[in-house]
Amino acid sequence: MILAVAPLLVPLATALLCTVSYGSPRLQSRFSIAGALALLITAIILVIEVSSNHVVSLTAGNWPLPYGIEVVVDRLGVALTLIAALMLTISLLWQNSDADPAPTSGFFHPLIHGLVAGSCAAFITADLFNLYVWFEVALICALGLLAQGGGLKHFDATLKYFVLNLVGTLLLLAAIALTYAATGHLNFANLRLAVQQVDPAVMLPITGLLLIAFLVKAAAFPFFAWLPASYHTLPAPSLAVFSALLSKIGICALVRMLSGTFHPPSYLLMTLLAGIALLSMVIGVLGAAYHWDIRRILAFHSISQVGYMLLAIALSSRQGDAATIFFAVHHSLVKAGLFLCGALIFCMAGHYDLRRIGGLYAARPFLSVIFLLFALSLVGIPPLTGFWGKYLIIRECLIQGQYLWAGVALSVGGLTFYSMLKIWKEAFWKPHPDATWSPTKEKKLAPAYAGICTLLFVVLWLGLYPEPLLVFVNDAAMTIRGGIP
Amino acid sequence: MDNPEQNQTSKKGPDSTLFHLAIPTLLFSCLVWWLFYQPLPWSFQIAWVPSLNIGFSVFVDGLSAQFLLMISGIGCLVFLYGTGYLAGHKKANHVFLLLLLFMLAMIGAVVSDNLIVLFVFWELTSVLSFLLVGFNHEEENNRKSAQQAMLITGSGGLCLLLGCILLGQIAGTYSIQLLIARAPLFINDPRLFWALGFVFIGAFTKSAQFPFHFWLPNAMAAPTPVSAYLHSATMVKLGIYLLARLDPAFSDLFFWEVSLITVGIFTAVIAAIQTIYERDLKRILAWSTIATLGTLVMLVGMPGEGAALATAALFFAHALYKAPLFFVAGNLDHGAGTRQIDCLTGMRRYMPWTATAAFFAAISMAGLPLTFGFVAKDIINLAKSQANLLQLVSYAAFFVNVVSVAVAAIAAIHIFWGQDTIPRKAQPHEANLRMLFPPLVLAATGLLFGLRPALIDPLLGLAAQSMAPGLDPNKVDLSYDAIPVIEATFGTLALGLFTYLRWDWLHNKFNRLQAIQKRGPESWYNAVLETLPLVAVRSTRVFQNGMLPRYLLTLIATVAALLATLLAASGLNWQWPEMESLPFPVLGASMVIAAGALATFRVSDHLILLLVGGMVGYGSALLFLFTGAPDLALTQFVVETIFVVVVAAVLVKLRSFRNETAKVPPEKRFRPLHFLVAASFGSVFVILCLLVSALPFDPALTDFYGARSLLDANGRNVVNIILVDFRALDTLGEISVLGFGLLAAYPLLKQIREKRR
Repeated sequence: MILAVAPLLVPLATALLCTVSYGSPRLQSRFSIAGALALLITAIILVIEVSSNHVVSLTAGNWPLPYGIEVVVDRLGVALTLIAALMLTISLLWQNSDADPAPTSGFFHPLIHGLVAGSCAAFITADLFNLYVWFEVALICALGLLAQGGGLKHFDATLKYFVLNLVGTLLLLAAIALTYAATGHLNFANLRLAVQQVDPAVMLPITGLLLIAFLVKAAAFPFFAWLPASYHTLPAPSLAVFSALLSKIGICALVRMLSGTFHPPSYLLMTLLAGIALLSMVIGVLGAAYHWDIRRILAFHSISQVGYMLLAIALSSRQGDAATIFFAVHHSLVKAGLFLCGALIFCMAGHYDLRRIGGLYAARPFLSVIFLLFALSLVGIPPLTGFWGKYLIIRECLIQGQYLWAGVALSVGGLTFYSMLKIWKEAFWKPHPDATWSPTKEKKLAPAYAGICTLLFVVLWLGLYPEPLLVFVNDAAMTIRGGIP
Repeated sequence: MDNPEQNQTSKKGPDSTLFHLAIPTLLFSCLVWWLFYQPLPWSFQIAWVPSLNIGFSVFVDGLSAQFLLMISGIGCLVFLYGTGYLAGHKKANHVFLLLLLFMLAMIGAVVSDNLIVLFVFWELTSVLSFLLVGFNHEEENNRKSAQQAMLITGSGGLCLLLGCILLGQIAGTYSIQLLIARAPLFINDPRLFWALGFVFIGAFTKSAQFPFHFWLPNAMAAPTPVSAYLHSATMVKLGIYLLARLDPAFSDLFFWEVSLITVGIFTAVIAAIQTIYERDLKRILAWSTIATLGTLVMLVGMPGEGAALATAALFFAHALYKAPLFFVAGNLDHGAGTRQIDCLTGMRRYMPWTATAAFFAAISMAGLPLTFGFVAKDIINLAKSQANLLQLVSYAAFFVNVVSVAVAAIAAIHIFWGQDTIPRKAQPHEANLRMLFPPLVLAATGLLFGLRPALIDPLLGLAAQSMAPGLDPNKVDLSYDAIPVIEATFGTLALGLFTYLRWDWLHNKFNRLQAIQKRGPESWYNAVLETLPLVAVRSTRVFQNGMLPRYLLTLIATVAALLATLLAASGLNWQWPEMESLPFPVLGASMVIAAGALATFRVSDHLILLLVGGMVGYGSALLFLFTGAPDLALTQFVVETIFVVVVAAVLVKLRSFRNETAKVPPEKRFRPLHFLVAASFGSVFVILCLLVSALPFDPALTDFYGARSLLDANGRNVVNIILVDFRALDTLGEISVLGFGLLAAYPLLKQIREKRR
């Protein structure tokens, strides 16, 4: 069904239209928002389709498998696509407000659609080399968005992002070449059968290399340096999309590889992955405790949250995968929401540095409540989404007897709370260091609030009534493992 | 009253009083009415998260009912008191909203039968407590107290979650009632020790037991109605509620009994000693609350039906006397402007009604006859005598009682009687009706139940039955023979009064012990809080040092190390490819590549470096040429040439820009660490490539492309057909990469252009 490739064709076409209409900003932004809405509608149709029909797939050029490139939209892919579409819509909406919008250079719209196209395609492709191609698309668009700022710090961020991600991409290319040489296949379903025939002594390091390449993309310890080096230079709309999508590309690929194609993974590999996950969690949250810039704090939290998702993958069970997917959905929504809250804080108080701001609880109670709910959700206070994510992971750790993993996961939750309390105390409770300060008024913030409230609504809904999503991710995990829910 | 907002709120005061009171009163009256007609226990279920076996299974028995009455009843009075206490405060509405949410969360916690749902409400109460403690957040100390309360109870909450999940796994259910029913089946499970240990930590943090007790006195930063409600009457009892709930399942466990009794009595003693340190009335009350909480934990731990009844009675008695005393402290704060007991004497003259309330609450606290406190004390003594405790525990409990008598005397006598000799700025004044009614009602209720304990018999009986299922609630009789009990309590009273009279002397004596307090649990908490940023600085400076070369080094080194581990994991019995003699041209091309690569680290000039690097590219092209891929070789030649030419042009241009005066110190040529990393990375890859090339290749794909490209795709050049037909989707992606690359590069190019102008 042609619908299967819509998640990549719609944003690509929009990007093209936005490029063509470069000279007319009004037309461009109309194309852009129309494209985002079209993607959102596509994603919703796909969710309905996938929920009833298991998967929607298409082989490019109608070639018989495994000779053509197959695109398979399953529950995991469609969930992340829907999030991508939602975040894209919100961030384009946000672009109309005065809260830290991206510079209007004419390149923002095509590049952000390109980023979404690359990410969505990476979520749904069922071919290893094709996955690499879409990684590249996402990488180059992310680079473009980073360089948009035009300042020295933007170029510094761009360079670090580029070099480290390029190495990751090259490692991926090497891993794909080796996989192809060893198995003769690239299609996921065929690889799954072919890897069983290969000497495990050779397959194990190849799988390991593939895993490392995806870990670089997912910003896991010790490959995470690109993420905190670049995120804080981004304007709010780009940042929301980045935080919702970039690390998820790596996570999505890891789940597909380790639970689907290269299943069953070796015990050694999973133990190493768990080690990486635990270190990511701890080092990430310590980085957050160290920083004072809201965006840097949140960026480091992303690393720690990636650690949770990796830990769930390392559990290598269906419940673990379900937990990963649930956590990925939760983290995309909540982290984007927090970054957007950060932008509003910046807009009100004039700075991202916690030491220079304060008094927002008294001045802007509504924003305080929004931030608090997002922050509590990130920490994992019930009954918000973060709680269910952590609950799933910890329960599975305990079922498997991994008490150390569960303990670390819980302690990191405590440290996350500590650093969220820091933001709350400094930005909201503390009186503003400048006694003459009053929050800036006469700014156009309605689109910003509309976007952030939409996110909050989704987070609250999923937190208070998690059953549909839980069933969905359980089925998604089953699909990845080759079962039919 | 210079704030316009403030005036506005105070103007609509009476209306908002009714408004704030509406929901709690409605709740309370409905509850009382409902409990009157509804035979207990009562339960029903609503599905919530069936896929995780988590549902709102509501279960109301005597213990829940008792808590429900305390939560809603005292809640009503707290709301009423709050409307008086916070009148004119511009953020009063926030407090009422948070208090209402808190009330609902508490109700949820005490009626849910599912451990996870209970945990959900438990955490909500912690968060709401945090927000309420930090209500006056302009002051740094209050912010710190709020943070402390949240971090301690929050961490405890995490442990509780762990404990609950473990319990659920051991018992196979999250339902508390099922868990109690199944307890004999898994009582010997070794994991139970850990599960209960974590539940204990959760309960102890919430109920301020040693060593987590110190947050409670600091939480007195909250407005007084909040302290009275959360930090005395309800929330801090939630931990004990949970323990009491689980008591029927585990009371036979030696571990259960010993830990609870030890921790409980130790907390009570520590708190009693700390009480004497304090001069602030509210903090004195806080410490004596902790002492009571300790006693409650001890009672839960004690086996037997008497202990269960004593727990239920003390729950009630404490709520009835401690909440009014907090209200009294609030009234003093409002009327006299201070809570320091040194500045408060002879207040009876100015605040007669507050003095009355304080008196009746205090005699209940001291356990004088005809009060409910007396009844509770009687039952506790009975329970202790049945439980054959260690002599040491009895002495400790006696000491705790003595101090509580002294505290009662402070509250009732010291503050309100005697001469007012302290010079004041303003004449102290009596609180308004809304602030007098609640303490008077509660103190009077205490008296009523003290005079007619039979009124409360059924409720306490049912509550005790929830903790000790063997108990028959109909046989509970709280009536007492006054004479023996008075004899028993006489010693406590006398010593308590003595303590009260020598309070200042004792205070000075105990002050010398402050060195011990400085090394107490609070200092551990502070140490952790101070160490954490230091550790964070260390780790972040190592891993996020801002230097790209180091990031790269870490990345490459980790890849090499991980791959080496995985290669070694197979036991090193590798299958090498068959060595064939290489044709001369291939060998030559390989030599070119190797020479180029080796030369890169002997050269420092960027331009030469580029040319040398180009050798690798040309070498690869040659290799392609001689291994049967001429078209690939051609592409590689073109790409490499363009790349070298373009980059060389840029470098030459940059040279003309270079500032000659800025001398960059020459880099060290040979760095052993880098060499080692590079060498191991290279070797690992070579080994991996060799191993893969030893495997037989599955030619299914290439064969198909070769066979079908002319037939189905009408093209003779297989590579082209692969690119534009078989794998056209890849090409679409690559074209997009080029297009987006152009868009991405444009701002950079534009910048250069603008600079040149």
